Amino acid sequence: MLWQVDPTSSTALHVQVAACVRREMASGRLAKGDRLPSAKEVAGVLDVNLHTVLRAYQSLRDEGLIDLRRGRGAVVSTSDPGGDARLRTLVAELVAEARLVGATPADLTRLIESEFQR
Amino acid sequence: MTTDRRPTHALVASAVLAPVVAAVGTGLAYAVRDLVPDPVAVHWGLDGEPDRWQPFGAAVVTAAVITTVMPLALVGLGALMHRSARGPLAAVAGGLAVFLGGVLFGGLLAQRPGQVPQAFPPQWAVPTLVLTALVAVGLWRWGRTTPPEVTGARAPLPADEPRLDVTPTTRLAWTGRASLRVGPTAALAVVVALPLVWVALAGFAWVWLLALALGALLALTLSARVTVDASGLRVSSAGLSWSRVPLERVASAGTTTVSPLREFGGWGWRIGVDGRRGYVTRAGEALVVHRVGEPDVVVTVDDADEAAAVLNTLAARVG
Repeated sequence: MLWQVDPTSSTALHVQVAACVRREMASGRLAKGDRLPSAKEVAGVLDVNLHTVLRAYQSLRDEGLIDLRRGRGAVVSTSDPGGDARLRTLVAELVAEARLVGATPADLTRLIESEFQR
Repeated sequence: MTTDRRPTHALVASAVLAPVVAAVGTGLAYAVRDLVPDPVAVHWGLDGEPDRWQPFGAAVVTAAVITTVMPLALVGLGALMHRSARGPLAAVAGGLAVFLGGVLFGGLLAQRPGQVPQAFPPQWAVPTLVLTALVAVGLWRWGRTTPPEVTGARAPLPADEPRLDVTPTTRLAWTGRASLRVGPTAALAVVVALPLVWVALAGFAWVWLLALALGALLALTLSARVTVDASGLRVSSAGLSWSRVPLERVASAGTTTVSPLREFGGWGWRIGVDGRRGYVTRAGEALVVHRVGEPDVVVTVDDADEAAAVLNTLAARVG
């Protein structure tokens, strides 16, 4: 699976790591029962702190997306990440993009509202 | 640029070694000819008693022929394969020559009076195994090719290979697995291990340990972790690295379709006739990494195009 984090982004690193997992689930490439790489391995390949990845995994567990079991690592616990998780992912990406182009939350809200009007 | 001849030299050395081992064994056997019984025992049953005999001369010729022909067949195969595959094949052929010579002639020589012919372990077992390992490792090291130095700016990556559109500050990585299907592999392992189980049941309890050790080794190497990150491509099982390709040695990455039997002659960590290295666990989609000055590396993973895109993007940053 693809992992990408941008340390220069104002989105917290652990949020970005969690978004990687959510995106895989939303696209159907991670299914129920699939095992995620260990937090140590992810921390290694992304060159981020182990606690950052653990925090990301814990937030995914709190959302009910994965199970964290001692010795078994992180296992995907739902076959459907749900619209909520998908929306979160899209919004996280949208906000990151908005920051990049300098759009304010008000600009973004206006754009979203006008999209609803169509 | 001069071609590295060492793989070929190692292969030739292993080809010379086989008849030399056979000749030494024959010499030793004839040196003690008056001491060993004629006919001599050439096969032993599970109870440790001989159950097949041959006249002395015929037994020596059989041992010499087997010791020579089987390694030479491997050398012939090595001669047909890519240069970089010759070192590993030289190691297998040379090791096999020493092993066969030790086992076959050791069994003959052990029938001198005063020796316990089938005491376990036979007195020739340890020297044979040690020599086999030394010769195999020696030939393998001799036959290793040194990849050409990567100097200066390298050629830009081909534009048509997959690439990711991300900001240069984004850290990228890709993780995946290549796993043999557990069911068929386990079934095959059980069939292969049946003779071991039979021997173990016949009263050689230590064989259980051997079977368990082989089973554990298989379980550990059944599946490989594939990672792409800022240090390049890594294919490894349980800490054992099958392949490592640093980013500066990646010419480009892409996807291909592999047929394990036709292209690699089987499954697992393989060397193709054309020198390609592959961790091949199934037919179909695979990541292929073209290396600078070395044969390609192939790994059967799902979403290989994504892995290739990550590798290309990271490699382009190094360039």
